[in-house]
This record gives sequence, structure tokens and C-alpha cells, in this order.
Amino acid sequence: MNQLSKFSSTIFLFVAATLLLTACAAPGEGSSNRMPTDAEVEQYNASVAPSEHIVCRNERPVGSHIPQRVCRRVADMEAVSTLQREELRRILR
Amino acid sequence: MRKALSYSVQSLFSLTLALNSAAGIAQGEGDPNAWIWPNNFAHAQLEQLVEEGKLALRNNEIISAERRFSEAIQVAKVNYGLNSAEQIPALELMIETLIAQGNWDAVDSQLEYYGWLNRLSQKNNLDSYLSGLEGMSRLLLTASANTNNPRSVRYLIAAKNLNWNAVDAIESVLGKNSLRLTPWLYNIVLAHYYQSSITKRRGMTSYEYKSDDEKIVSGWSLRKNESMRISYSIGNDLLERIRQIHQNNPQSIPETEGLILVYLGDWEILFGNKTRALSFYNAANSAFIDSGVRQGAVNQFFAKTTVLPAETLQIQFAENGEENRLEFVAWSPNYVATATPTSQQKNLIPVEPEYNALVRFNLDSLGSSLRATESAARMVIALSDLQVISSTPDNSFVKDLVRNEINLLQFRPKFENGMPVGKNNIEMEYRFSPAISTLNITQHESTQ
Repeated sequence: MNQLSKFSSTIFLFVAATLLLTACAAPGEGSSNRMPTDAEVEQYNASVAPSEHIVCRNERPVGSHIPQRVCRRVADMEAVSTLQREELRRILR
Repeated sequence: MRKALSYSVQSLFSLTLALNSAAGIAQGEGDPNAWIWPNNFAHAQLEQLVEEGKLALRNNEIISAERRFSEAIQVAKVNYGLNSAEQIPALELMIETLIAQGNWDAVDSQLEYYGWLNRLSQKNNLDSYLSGLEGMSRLLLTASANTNNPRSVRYLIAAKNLNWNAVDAIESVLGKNSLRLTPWLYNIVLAHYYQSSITKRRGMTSYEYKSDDEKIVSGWSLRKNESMRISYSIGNDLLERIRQIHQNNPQSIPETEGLILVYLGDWEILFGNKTRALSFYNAANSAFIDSGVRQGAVNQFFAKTTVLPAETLQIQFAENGEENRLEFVAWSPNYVATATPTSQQKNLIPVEPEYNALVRFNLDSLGSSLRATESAARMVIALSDLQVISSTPDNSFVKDLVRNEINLLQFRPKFENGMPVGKNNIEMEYRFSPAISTLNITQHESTQ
């Protein structure tokens, strides 16, 4: 009986761990939407003008603790920042 | 009318004479024999001018050397064409003289010209193109190591980018599994180690130390940990890529697998992951044995004291003998306790370290084999009983500096039959130049 309880708790732990790992799997992994690795980003950036550089980092979206790899163009980030600064200035005026 | 014409001719004649005299004076020395106009059409003069420039450099006449190299470039342009590759040897030497003078604007402009020339004249010939990239990368690393360079890291990143350009070129011509990618990929790994050694230093975490961009991009700056993680991840990826290239290539030697596993272990040590390093070293030991290398020879290989990162990537197994005395030439105070890159040995203006010291120490390595209990595997590598036996100059300040720098060095542990073991009484001749800021602080303290 004791052995049976030990076996069932092992099974439970295995199922729980599998579910947890499935939940944590990065979205899109193995698919064509795979985000570039740090080395791939650096290789790309070395061949284009600074305004065309991209940066990738792991970010935790609101409402989740699981980090997601997000890549953006530096020029886009700069444009968004400028727009936000101008909006803020307009509101505070 | 005739009088006016005669007056103009006379004026022109006097102007020509005046210009000639000025040129004579400008050419210097006041000697009438020195009034020789350079004949840019004599292509034999190209070699002569380069040799004269090299001689001037050996005599420490840097300005004169720069002028000779500049003239050589003009001769090459006239004889071989404006975009000719014949200007490159003289151009490289001229940039070296500009770096020695700390003329950074001129260095930038000449390097830009070199890059343009290399793209234009050599793109159709892969070997020449790669040779140009190698030359530029060497110069950029030299500029980055110069202690008077206020933007040293930008040059390091530019050198790293040129290595990526070489990778792009090789991939597009020879494919993604070409063995020729290996040294270029390893250079990028080394550049990441140099970059991380700066990021580790206090106060070196600002944006300009992590980017080659002209301006700061708002809303984005890597944290120190993030920057270190990226360098570690790229180095690791590239070493794995080198491993795959050799695995997929039929011309590859079986022992190479073991060697690359050793480098992967070294990379883990450099980033403080000693347990993972132990795993790689154990795998390397097994890979060597599987490829037919005797255990005795593997032990000999690991018996050599190696300061990390290794300067070059060895892809052929060679038995190492136990060294009597290790020699370490530190590269530059900008990259503390880092060995001089092999490319810098080609420089015509060598930067000789000012100080040297003879030290003795023990390397204590403790650990267990992964084959026994994987979860319990641990490895400890520690430097102990460090003694500075002698130093030049012989004073406590230099000895303290040496102690600090030796403690920053990272070593590959000694292994016997797949197990890390200690090594006693290692003697090392350490040659280095201290940072100017360190010297200033010491002078300030001594005057108080």
C-alpha cells in the first residue's frame, strides 16, 4: 500500500512537471517565427547602417512572469520615444 | 600694351621662382640638392618610399615616416590607379603612424578610406578582401589598445564587426560550413571576452561602452548583467558553431572535437561557470580517447599552464611539454590582465611593456569526475601562495600591481585521467604597462 502511494505520488509529480514545462515553453519555438539569437543579431547589425540595427532582449509582458524574446529596430524605438516625449510635452503644456 | 604683357610675364616668372624657393624651403634642409620634385610616375619609387618610411619608424621619426608613406600612396595611385590595391601596404603603415601620434580624426578618415578601397578593389577576390579585413581589424585593435584613445571601445567593436563582415563574405562564397570560418569566428569570441572584461570594470557600464552608434539611443541601454549575458551567449554559440562546422566537414581531424570541447570549457571558466567547465573538460578527455589519443598524451596536453582565453584556436592535437617558465605579455592597460593578441605582433611600431616581474604561484584545482555523480560535480580553481620573486623596477608599488593583475588571470586547470589536479610552483614572467590613472594616484599619494 505504501509502495502504491509512493508510485502514485511519483506519477503525479511527473504529470505536474510535464504540464509546467509545457506551459513554460517559449511560444513559436521551432517554428518559422523563431526570434534571432544574439549571435545572429550581431552578425546582421555588423552589415547594416546603425539606423538599421536591431536589438533583442528578454522582456516580461504585463501579467506574466515568463520572459519573451522581443526584437525591435533601433530606429523604431527612437521614433516611438520621440513621439512619446512630444506627446508628454504637449499634455504637460 | 606690350609693356603690360612684359610686366605680367615678369610677375609670373618671379611668382614661379618664389614658389620654387618656397617648395625648396618646405622640402626642408635648405640644401639646393634637396630641390628634387617627387617623381610620382616612377613606380620603383613606391617600394623605396615604403622602405624609407620603415627606416624612419625604426629611428622613431614618426612624422617623417608618415610623410614617406603618404608619398608612397600617391605614387601607387598615379601608377596603378586611384582604386588600386597597391596602396594598401603603405596605407596600413601610415595608419599605424597616425595611431602612434594619437591623431584619431585622421585615423578614422584613413580607415574609412581603407574600407572603401577594400570593398571596391578586392570584393571580387575573396582572399584579398579577407586580407584587407584582417589588416583593418589589426589596426582597429591597435587603436583600441592605445591608452590615449578616448573612444577605445568603439574601435574594438568596429574590429569585431569586420570579423563579422569576413564571416558574411566566406558564407556567401564558400558556404556556411567552410572551415575557413573558424579563425574569424574565434576572433569574435575573443572580442567578446575583451568587451566583457571592460564591462566587468566599475563605471564602464554606460551605453558608449556597448555600442558603435554615434549617438545614444533613448530608451535603450543594456544593463551590466545583460551585456555580460549577451557576450557569454554569443561566445558560446560561436564555439558551438565552430564545433558543428568541424563535425560536418569530412576534411576535419577527429581530435578537433576534443579541442573545441576544451575551448568551450575555457569559455565557461571565463564567465565563472566552473561546474559546466568541468563537464566540458571531462567530455574533451573522453573525445580525445575516442579519437585514438593516448591518455598519457591527453594528460600532457592538460599539464601545460594556459592563461585564458587562449590567443589562437588550435584545431590539431599537439602534445604539450611541461614548461619551465611561462611568459605572459599583457596587452594594454585598457584590457587589464589580457594577453596581447597574436595579430599585434605584426605591428611595425611594437608597444613594449614598461614593467616586468617574475612570479611564482600554485594552482589548486579540486573536483570530481562527472562520470561518477553528475549532480555532485563541483570544481574549484584557486591561485595560492603567490610570490613576486623580482620586479623591474624593484619597488613595492610594482609588486602590488603585479599581485593585483595576476589575481585577475584565469587559468585552464590541470587534468589527470579526466580529474582536475593542482599544480605547484608555476613560474611566470609577467610583462605589463600600468594604467596612467594608477600611476597618477600613486604619485598623488606619495606627495601627501
